[in-house]
Amino acid sequence: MTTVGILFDLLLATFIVLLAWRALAAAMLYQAAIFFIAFGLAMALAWARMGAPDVALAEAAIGAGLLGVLLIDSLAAFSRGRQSREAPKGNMTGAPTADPGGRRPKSRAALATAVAAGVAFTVVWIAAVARMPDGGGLTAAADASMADSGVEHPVTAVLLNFRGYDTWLEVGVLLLAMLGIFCAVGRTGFERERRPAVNDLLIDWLTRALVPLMVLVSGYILWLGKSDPGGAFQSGVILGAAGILLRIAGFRAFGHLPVWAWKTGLVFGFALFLAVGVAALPAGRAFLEYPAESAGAWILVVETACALSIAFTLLAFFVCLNAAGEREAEAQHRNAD
Amino acid sequence: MSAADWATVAFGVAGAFFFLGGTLGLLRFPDLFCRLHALTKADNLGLGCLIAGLLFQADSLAAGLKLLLIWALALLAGSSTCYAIGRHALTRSGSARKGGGR
Repeated sequence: MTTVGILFDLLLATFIVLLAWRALAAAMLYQAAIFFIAFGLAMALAWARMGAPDVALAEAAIGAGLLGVLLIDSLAAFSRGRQSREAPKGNMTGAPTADPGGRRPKSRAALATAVAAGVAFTVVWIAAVARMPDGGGLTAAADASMADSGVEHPVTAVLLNFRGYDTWLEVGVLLLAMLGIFCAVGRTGFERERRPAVNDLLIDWLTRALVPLMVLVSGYILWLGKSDPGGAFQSGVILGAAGILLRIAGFRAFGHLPVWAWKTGLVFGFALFLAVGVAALPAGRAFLEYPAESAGAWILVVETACALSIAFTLLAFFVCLNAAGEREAEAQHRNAD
Repeated sequence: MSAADWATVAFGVAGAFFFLGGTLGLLRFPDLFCRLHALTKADNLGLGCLIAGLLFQADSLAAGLKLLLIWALALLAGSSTCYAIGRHALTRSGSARKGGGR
């Protein structure tokens, strides 16, 4: 590695720790959210520097993009609720009484927990690195089987073929998270009419221009997973982001679909993955073992289904939480009246 | 170093200058609208210069066009968010000079 490379890495590492600290210690929740987004982007850069562009893509899209949108949207709903609560106390103009970020409660216990967790993680991490097998573990075995995997990109081969089990369960984890949100805030906000939330020509035009491009990029990244960094998760996140953009700009974004269709969309990827895995059993193959000659086609089918479901799930995260936030703000407003 | 490399260096330095200026403006300018102005100049000109520099290193026409596409998308996103933030600040504060000041 060159001197410039080492300098850059040191700078990046310091920057990441600093951003993490600022995200935890920021006085305003709004600042904390912004620092968290910057932290996600810096992490994506770090993954790219470590030669893991697949992870970098996912981190940038989920860690910085999607989580950032969820955080800021929640904060907006939170401060709307707070404003209407505080409105009757003197400030009759209805103007915001405080910074929209909201001052966060100071908690020494939280800080101590964070530091303790950090120390514990470092200890475990050092122990894990010390036990790392020489010669890269299973890398040689994976490389030797690449010809049978049906794809050319090793990461995709491991994720969708050699360790398809893990990926299937990961899609299941997303589904579980969705169920958790259903339990916590209810199945709300899916069906809705077109409503220009921001009555604004430019936002409207921008959305119309960007969304087709995002769908195109999403398909491209899905297809690219065969031979280069890319695949179902990255593709699904971009597609989901296109849906979120549509919702924010006031479009219906599948708002005409009934709730059962949404549910089907959420489960589709997980169910199809499972069906493909089980279909291998009667033929005498192991669970999720594709026939070697058509493995590439099976992987593409499974990845496409998963990308669609991931997009639906991420959009549903936003839709549910956004609707819950709005409901909360309305309830606060009624109480204030 | 070839002439193309020198061109890359020149454009890269120019890009870095605009980013530095933009950052300085973001930190030092008095209110939100001035800061937005500084920020978008860094995005437009700084990134534009960097892309122009990288164009001299592009292997193929397709790679060059992708670089230009990145710049166009950043321009589109940058100016639109700038507009959205500015509009939000205007409607909130009711006057152009109050919004965003510390």
